[in-house]
Amino acid sequence: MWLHLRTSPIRWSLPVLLAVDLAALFLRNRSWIGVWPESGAAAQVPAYLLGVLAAGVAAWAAGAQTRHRLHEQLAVARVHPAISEAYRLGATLILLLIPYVIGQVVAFAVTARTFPPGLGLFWGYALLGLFVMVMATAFGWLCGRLLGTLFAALAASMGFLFLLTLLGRVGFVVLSGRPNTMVDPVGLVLRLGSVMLLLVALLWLPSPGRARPARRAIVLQVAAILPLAMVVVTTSPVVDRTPPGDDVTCVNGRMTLCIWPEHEKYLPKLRSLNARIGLLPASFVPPPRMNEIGIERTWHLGPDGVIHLDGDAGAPIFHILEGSPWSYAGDVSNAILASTFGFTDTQYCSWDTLTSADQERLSVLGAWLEAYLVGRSTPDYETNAPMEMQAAWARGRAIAGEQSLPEQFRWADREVGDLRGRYCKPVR
Amino acid sequence: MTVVLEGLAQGYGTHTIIDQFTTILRPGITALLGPNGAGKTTLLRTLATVMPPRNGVISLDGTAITDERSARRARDKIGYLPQDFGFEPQMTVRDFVTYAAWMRGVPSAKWRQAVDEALEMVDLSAEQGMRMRRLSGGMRQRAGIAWAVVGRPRLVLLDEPTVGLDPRQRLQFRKIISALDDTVVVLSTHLIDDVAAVCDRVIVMHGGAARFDGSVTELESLGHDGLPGHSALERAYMHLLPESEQQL
Repeated sequence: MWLHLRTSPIRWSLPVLLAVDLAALFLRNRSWIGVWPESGAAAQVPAYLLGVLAAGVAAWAAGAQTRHRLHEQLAVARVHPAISEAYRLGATLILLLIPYVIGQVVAFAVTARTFPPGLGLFWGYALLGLFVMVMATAFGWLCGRLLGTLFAALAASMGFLFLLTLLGRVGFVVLSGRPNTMVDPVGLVLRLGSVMLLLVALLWLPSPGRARPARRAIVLQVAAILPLAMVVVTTSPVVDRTPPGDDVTCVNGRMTLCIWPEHEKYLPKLRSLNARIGLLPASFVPPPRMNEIGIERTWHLGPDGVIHLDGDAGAPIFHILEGSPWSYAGDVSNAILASTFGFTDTQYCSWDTLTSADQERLSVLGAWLEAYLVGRSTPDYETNAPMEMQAAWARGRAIAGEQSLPEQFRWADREVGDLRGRYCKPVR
Repeated sequence: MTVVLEGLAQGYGTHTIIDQFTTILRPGITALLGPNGAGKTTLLRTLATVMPPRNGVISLDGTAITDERSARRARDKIGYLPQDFGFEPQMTVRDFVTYAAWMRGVPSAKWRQAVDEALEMVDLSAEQGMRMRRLSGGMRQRAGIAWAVVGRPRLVLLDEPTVGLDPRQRLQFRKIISALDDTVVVLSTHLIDDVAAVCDRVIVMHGGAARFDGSVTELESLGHDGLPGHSALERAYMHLLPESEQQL
């Protein structure tokens, strides 16, 4: 094994693969730092990129015996061909995993500085990426053994990219590690088990030097690929986590904002946001509590006798997407407006008669509130909403950016009072 | 070590190369001499267990090689160097020979000693740290011989080992294989000089059959004037060819 590790030309590609890994880790975004599941997922994402390269490199390595005309000599080896193949494949796999593992170690080290809760979730994503790397290597090795060397490398890389694109449609690619989800342990075990089975089956691939392909070996390959294909298609890499119950972390104030303990790094920002909510004019009526997605789950028995997740029950939810304050400020803003205006209150309000002019005013108000809560007037996202809606949002953000706070509050208070007066009975 | 070949038949596809070949090989250097297509390489490949014979039996010290399992058991006794042998260019000479030792089933505890011995035999101890890709043709050929002899296999099969070597390198080669005194060495060659210099026995093959099997002196005695050739051995060789091939 050491001999193969020392002499494999793959060694020369390691700096490039490592650079690709670290670039994918740090250049995409850095919101994952300080959150274990997101760190694991962020360090797992390069596996898809590395996998495309690894498939080609593995195919190239698999064809080394043909390229170097070693078949004749190795055909008379005392060592069983599967054993010698295991060492070659093992060395290739180890070398290709090095950049991925270094990426994971770097992500671990960066987040370990604050050591938030939820380390267990990190390992799930680390293993999920490991599975992708092993699968890419197995795919490349198979191509390398079945096709010619240079063509095999190209075919393996392109083939794996195509495979990822296809599998992306069934949720194979995991890009984030939000704390409300986790890597499915059963699915992960099945994935790792089936890819290991394929690796073992690869050791029995007939040598390209053989006059006749061994039919039994071909059948074995197909029999090993099928379970992997079935597992990948039928299992989801991630599943929803059980709500944390009393372990939830909350920020109290005019409104209570509760988050997953793994997201504790956002507590200062949420406190600041809650302080801003506390300054809003009294005409704004925030809901008593908002939860980060997945904190509470309410189920109901449907008329079909099936238990369904009730998305409308319980406290309104917010998301923290890639650490963006705009993601949760938008949700909080919507929830405050819904609570303030009673959009679902059909007893006292008649929002079904809302005019387009007033709809626009609500949009301006919503955009202002969102920008006010963030404390900035330029959002970090882009939208393809209709132009008139975007224009309304721009006006709302301009108010937040250009006017003094008392002016903003006076304007907002007037808008709330006027709009409520138009559509809701005063008794509410 | 005694190698018995009994009624051996071998071929590729529908083409039969060797048919009903029978001989006994004993320690010493045996040359397989013959024109291209005579079946020398096919015979060596069959002896090396690269391909199972279509018919007949190969026995090593009385143990018949009947299937892949028995072939694998016998392979620690066989050292084989194909004519156009391969190597991993990144490997050093020592890596290359160590790899051969491992593949031949030499116990890992004995690798160091076996590799040292093989490198010393081919006079490459000083170059053991050089990468295979950097070796000259002659050094590479010697490394190939080290591949074939590491672990002291009792049967050494060398296919055209002197092709491409300069006169000095050929002399060096002869010195190396002359040292394999207790080993059954079978080498195929086109070069009659090599046969005369080092071989104890010659098998002249043509059309997959042995036209002659005897000592170099016996072969030499077959040569007579009137046939092309610069030496008695060359004329003897020409004598063994079919009449249509005897004249140039």
